[in-house]
Amino acid sequence: MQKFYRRSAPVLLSLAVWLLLWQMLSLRLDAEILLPAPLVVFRRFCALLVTAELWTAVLFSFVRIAAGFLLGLLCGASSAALSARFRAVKEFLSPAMALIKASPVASFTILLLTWVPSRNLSVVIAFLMALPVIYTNLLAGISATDPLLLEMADLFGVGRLGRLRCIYLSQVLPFLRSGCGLALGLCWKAGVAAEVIGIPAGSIGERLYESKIYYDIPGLFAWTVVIILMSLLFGRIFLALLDSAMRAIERM
Amino acid sequence: MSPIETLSIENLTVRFGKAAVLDRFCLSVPAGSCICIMGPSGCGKTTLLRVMMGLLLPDSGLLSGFAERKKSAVFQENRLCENLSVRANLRLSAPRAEDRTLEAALASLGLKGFLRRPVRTLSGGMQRRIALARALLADYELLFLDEPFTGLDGETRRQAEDLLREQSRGKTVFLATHSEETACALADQIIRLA
Repeated sequence: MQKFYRRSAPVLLSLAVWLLLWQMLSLRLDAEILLPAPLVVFRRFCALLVTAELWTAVLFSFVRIAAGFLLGLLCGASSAALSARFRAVKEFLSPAMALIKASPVASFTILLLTWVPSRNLSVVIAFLMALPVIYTNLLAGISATDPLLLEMADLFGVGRLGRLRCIYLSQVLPFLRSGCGLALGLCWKAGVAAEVIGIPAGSIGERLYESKIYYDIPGLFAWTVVIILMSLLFGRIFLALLDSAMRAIERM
Repeated sequence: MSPIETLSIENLTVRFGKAAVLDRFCLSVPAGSCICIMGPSGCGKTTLLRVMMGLLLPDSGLLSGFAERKKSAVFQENRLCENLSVRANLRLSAPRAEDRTLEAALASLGLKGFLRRPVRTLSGGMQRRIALARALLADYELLFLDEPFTGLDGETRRQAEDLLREQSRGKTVFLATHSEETACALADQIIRLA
């Protein structure tokens, strides 16, 4: 318990200082439309919590962004494995990955609006955010596999499954973890941004767009808190699952 | 394997760039014996072992009796999967061994109760003993040991030497070492590289 307090105290203290600064600034500006006070945002957030509107919007956006992320994870992992095995695949994919990474989300979103129904836009955008990050990290992990371990596996006649489980997976999982941590944050940011542009009915992005139209700044802040919490929660749960997979492999 | 069979190397040459590490090296040893390879650092002990293990192609020369035999080794480096448990590492060389067999191998090297521990949590000397246990658990006819007792204290080293002598009886062992003491304790034949 003491350890918990020792760890949490600096975080809570810095949070309190930031909240205080926010409160002071909002008092100084004295205009809700410019910067609402933390308590106003908190009240608005609490009011949102008991509405069906919040939960349907959260479900709508979560399902699509999570699907896009998982699709990106699947495609990123398989294309990284193929790139590590075949040089031609790596050379073929490398400009595409660089292009996806460098292009602005807004450009993709506007282009994709002509191809994809707006309700599924966040799936594609989250996928495009996750794909190059997962691909790059996993490829780095596979490339960093110790050649001396592979030589040892050759001598002892370790089969493909044994190599995958004991050598590749144990070396690549830390790279996958850092890639997923990065990609998860990007997926939520870019996914909601795509919804703001595409305005699919019932999404979190639509609520943010409405906040802009009606100058509902406390609402904008409250919905932003919802997005941050969703992003943190999904990220924590996913990374905890990945950590338990890593521990299971360690114990094998 | 018949005890009269021999393993031979004829005119083995290995070059790294222009320098010949091994130059027309010849060797003929009876199968089932323990051969110690000694010599100063850089004289080609590890290179010779790597050629015999089939991990390095020589520039020229002929090896007979090596390719068709099952091999096991303790490399110069431990080459353990550090994120995995001791058990997973031992299973790389003995995939069908039961846990009690693995436990017994560990106990004979003074590592009783370490089966489920992640390798990264063990000291250098302990990791060296895991590498030795992995090599001895394999199904092999030829055993290659490159400075296998590095990092072990006197008592542990003697314990490991005794185990090696007992476990490799009837098998052909090639042992590269700087230690005269180890060579005298284990070798049937000593080869000195210049």
